[in-house]
Amino acid sequence: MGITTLVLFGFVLALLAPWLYRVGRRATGWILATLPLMQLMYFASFVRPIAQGEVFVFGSAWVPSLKTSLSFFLDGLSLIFALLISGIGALVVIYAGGYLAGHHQLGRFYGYLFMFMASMLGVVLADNVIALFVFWELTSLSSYLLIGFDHEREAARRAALQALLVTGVGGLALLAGLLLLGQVGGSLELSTLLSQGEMVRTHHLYLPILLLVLAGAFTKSAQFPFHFWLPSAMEAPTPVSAYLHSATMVKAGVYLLARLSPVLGGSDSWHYLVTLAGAVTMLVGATLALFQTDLKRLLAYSTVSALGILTLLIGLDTTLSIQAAMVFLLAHAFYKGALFLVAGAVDHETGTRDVTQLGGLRQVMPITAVAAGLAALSMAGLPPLLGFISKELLYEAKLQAPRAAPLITGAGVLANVLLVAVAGIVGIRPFLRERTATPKNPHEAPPSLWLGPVMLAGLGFIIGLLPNTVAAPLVSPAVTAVRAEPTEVTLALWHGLNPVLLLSVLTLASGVGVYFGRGVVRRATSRLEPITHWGPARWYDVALDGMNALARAQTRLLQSGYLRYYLLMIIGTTVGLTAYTLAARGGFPRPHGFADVRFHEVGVAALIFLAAVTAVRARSRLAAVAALGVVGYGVALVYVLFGAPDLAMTQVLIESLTVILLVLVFYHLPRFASLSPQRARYRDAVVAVAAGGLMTALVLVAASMRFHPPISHYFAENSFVRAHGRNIVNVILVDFRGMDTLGEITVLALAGIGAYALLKLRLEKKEGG
Amino acid sequence: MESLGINYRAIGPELVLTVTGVLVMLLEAFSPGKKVRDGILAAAGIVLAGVAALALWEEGPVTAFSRMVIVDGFRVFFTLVILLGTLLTIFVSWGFLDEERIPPGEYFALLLFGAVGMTLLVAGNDLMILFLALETITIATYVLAGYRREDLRSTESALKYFLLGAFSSAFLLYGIALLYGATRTTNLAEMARVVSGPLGQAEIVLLMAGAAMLLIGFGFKVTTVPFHVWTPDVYEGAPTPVTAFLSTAPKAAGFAAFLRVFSLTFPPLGIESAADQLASHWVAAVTAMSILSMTFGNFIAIAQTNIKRMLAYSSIAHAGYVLIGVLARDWAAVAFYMLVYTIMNLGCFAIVALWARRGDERVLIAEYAGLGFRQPLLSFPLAIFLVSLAGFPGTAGFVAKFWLFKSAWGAGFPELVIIGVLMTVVSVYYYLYVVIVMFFREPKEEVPRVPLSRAFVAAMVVALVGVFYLGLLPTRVFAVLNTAQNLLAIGQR
Repeated sequence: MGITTLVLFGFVLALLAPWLYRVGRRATGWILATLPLMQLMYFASFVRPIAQGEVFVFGSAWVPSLKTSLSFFLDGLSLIFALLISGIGALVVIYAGGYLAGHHQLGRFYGYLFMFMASMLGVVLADNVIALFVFWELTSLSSYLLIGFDHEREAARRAALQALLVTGVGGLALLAGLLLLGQVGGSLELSTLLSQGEMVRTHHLYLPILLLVLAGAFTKSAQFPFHFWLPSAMEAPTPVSAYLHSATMVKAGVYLLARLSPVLGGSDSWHYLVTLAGAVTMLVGATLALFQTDLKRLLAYSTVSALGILTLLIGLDTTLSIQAAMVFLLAHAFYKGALFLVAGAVDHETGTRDVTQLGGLRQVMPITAVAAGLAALSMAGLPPLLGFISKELLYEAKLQAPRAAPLITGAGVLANVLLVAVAGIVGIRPFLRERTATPKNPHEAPPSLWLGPVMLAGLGFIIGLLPNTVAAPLVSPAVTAVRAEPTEVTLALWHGLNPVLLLSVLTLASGVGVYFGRGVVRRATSRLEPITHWGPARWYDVALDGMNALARAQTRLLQSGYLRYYLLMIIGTTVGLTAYTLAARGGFPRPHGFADVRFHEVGVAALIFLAAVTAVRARSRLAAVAALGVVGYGVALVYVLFGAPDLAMTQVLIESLTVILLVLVFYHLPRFASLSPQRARYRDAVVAVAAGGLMTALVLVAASMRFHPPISHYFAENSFVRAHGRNIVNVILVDFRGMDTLGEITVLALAGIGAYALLKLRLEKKEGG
Repeated sequence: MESLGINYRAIGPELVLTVTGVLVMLLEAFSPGKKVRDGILAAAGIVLAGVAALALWEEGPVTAFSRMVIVDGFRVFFTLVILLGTLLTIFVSWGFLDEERIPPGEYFALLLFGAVGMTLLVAGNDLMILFLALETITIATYVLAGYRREDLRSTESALKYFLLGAFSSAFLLYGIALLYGATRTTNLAEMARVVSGPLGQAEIVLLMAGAAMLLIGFGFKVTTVPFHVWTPDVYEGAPTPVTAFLSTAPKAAGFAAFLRVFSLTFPPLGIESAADQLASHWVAAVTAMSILSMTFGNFIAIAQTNIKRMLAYSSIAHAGYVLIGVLARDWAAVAFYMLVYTIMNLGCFAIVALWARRGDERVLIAEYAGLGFRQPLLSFPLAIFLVSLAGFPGTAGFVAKFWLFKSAWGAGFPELVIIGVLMTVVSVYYYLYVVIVMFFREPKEEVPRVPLSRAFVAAMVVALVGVFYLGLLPTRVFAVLNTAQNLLAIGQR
């Protein structure tokens, strides 16, 4: 079975899940978990070859003319993510079956979850950047569906949309960045692009590419100032928070940064931007976490902080920091996943997630308590857990940071101190002390609910004891892939007495201090609370409201519903556009030929002008129609004077018919009731004069050109010779323009029949009624 | 006769459509009210016209009727898009004809005559043909827009449409006259030859003014800001199946004419020529129109509460995107976009029409609440079409937009692409809003069951298959279009 099939099969299962649930009911979760387990085993089979330095590319053309292919690429970095996605995926699918047991839309939930799982695998495995983007947006979309799963609640809907908009917009920035990158690097395949780093970094488009890609990665991985959507996303059911918003999806941004660091990394702008964003996020997340009392929001803010740490490490861009990042990635996925699942189980059993109301749960939920304890200790960084190893590496990397090492280390220690306190609040406190009253009477969670936390926390423990089981097969290839150079990694619990260990002890001690003194800390900083109202979340609201207000204002302005304003707008634009083109051409050519204007021509022109003015000024419809008729006949006269009798005939006939029809119609209309106000009339006059003036100007320009000899000469010369007629007008009408005349007669006849039919219908109606 | 270039095959699709239209109309006069018979006949005529169009595929660029009509891949593809739009409209109108007691023959005949105008517009190689074709389209559509005579909204919108349309036609005709004055020809191929050299000062002025007027006329037909003002009112007021038709097939035809005249006849040549002088102006004007359409269309769409008005503004916004393709002078990208747009928009409107019931009673977005899982056969397709309109990956809307933007980027319009992408983001908001209302809002009253006709199901199947086929496996259609594009390029030389 190919990798393409395996990824795409997730989408098929997503479609089938609701139906499977109807058949499988309670067992569905266990059955469905076989797919991620199969994927896990499949990917596990790659561990050995990849550890030996192999890289796999699987390709199939998709839309070759747009250079888009559905190709996949598996190296150490993809592999570590793929294993996490499928492994934790299997546990979460089982967990969801217990957590949402009896929910009437559980089938649909599985559908969304599998859609996410397949898309997420697509993100970390895609070779083609367009395919990567497609999967990237699909994870945003499935995250939207999952956050809004409890759609009866307004808060859930709001959070879902917020997450979608923030990550979706970032995704589009990413698309732009990737396309630019593809253009600069000459390929849309990541496997090819990875070796183009030197060229990309020196290209003048490097900075735009970097900023666009970072916008995508930072929004997805909830980096400051885009971090606000992640805590809101806690409206999602807990399995979703554990899976998407802690272990996998939010790490897509981190994956992308790591993936592209051989291409985009290594420059000053990369170093400063990524490190700074990471450091700020790390501190902001850890600080805000301390203020929360809701278990999930506590975890969410600590996840934000952890994502900041990962970003910071990638920004440091040393072999040591990448190594730390990869180990921390694993450690965090294990302990945070476990803690989220524990929080869900606690919520499920007690009916509350408020940490101030929870206590003594170890007596009733012993298995969950053990898992929670292990995970919390790993989070706090206590030996012999994986969290300890990762924190040691972290400090080591920070101490050896190429720039501003003391500052970065200081910030890191501060954040970790806060996280130790948070670990105590979420993982230890609810299980110790006295039992408190909770909305529901808790029991030990069913196996589906404790299996996940126990497995994850257990992994953190076992790997902590035997770190080299993952060091060579998983961490080394991943670091190799990110650094684009072979790297050997060995991990150990004991590094000897060194500054790093000292920092660890200091962190732990201060963390415990903060834990017990958290009341004091909270009170001291509560005065800063008003500032948070002006945080980025507020700006998101302002932007959204602003967009709505702008839309309404535009509608009022442009879409009044009045025909006269529409006409004004169209005529105004026409005059503006045409006059501009004329002016841009440097004025009008001078018209000539005014010298030989004859008296009766002036008379006709005056007649037309007067009739037009009368039509506008007339107070009754009939008078206006009659005046318009005069304009038409005047034009016919002009045709006659300039030797176009055929045109004149048509004009006269059409004019007569129009006047008759108008009179017939107007006969049934009421008198003018309201005339437009004086000011509107002035405005209309200005527009009308401008339009008329423009037409006049154009006619004058056209008149200055003569490229055919006047056709009247031809008629005069040939009417007797070729058509054997003495009356020139007759000859033109029936001979030279014979077909035209026939056509005109037909049209008029049809119009006449139409008018007759209308009149007849009216008469019949009157008789009938 | 040979010298006049009379070649009936070259207007085969138009002939078939005209004959079918007349036949349907006559049948209606002598034995009225037979919807199934007339509908099948009209559909058969359209399919036959499609066959006639496909038969022209291999002909390569040739002209007929004194070079008034052209046969090339461009025309054949757009003709097929128009025919598909018309065919789907017949399906979409099925239930509506009974509800409103409209004489079916008359209605189908008008659709067919409109389609004749559109296919002729696409085939026109002469400004006079273009004008004739445009008038044929508009007269048929004026009547269609005002079909619900007893409804004030419908009548008002038809009147507005008619008056503003007459204005724009006048501008168009005036523009044609000025262009004739400048180049001494109305034939597009001849005109392209004339403007590829230098022209006198007066001629340039006329050329500019004429092109500006033409731009206004076309701008009106393809609903770009600021000539879009009629669109929301007419789309709202016209019966929904007619709105579906108006927003797709005539627009495809309008863009085809737009491309023919501006992209192919007045291209920026890069050498000292009248065409180049003109191009710098029309490119600037069309850029402005495109930006305005994208921004106004998308932003105003957000504020709409009526789904038909929302789709009207979305249609304006899409016209803005397509103009980017016109600027990039990539007709194949535009043709593909119009194909996709026709399919997804007609799909949307089919559901809107069905849900609106008689007299367009249910057209507020709020009235879609609770549709989600109670009427999955309506809500899921509608969600898919809306998501495709928003350009989500996996749907045809994404591929179409991607191609358009990619080609514009390559042609040197990065700023338009950036605005386009940003506006796409804005559009996600209002498209998804409908989806949210459908799935996540509880209805105020009981959601009634709407019976689905076979014609509706057929339209849904065609549109859904289209959205996914073109969204996932567009390669074949791309290949066909690229071949046609290459042939046209050879023909132009």
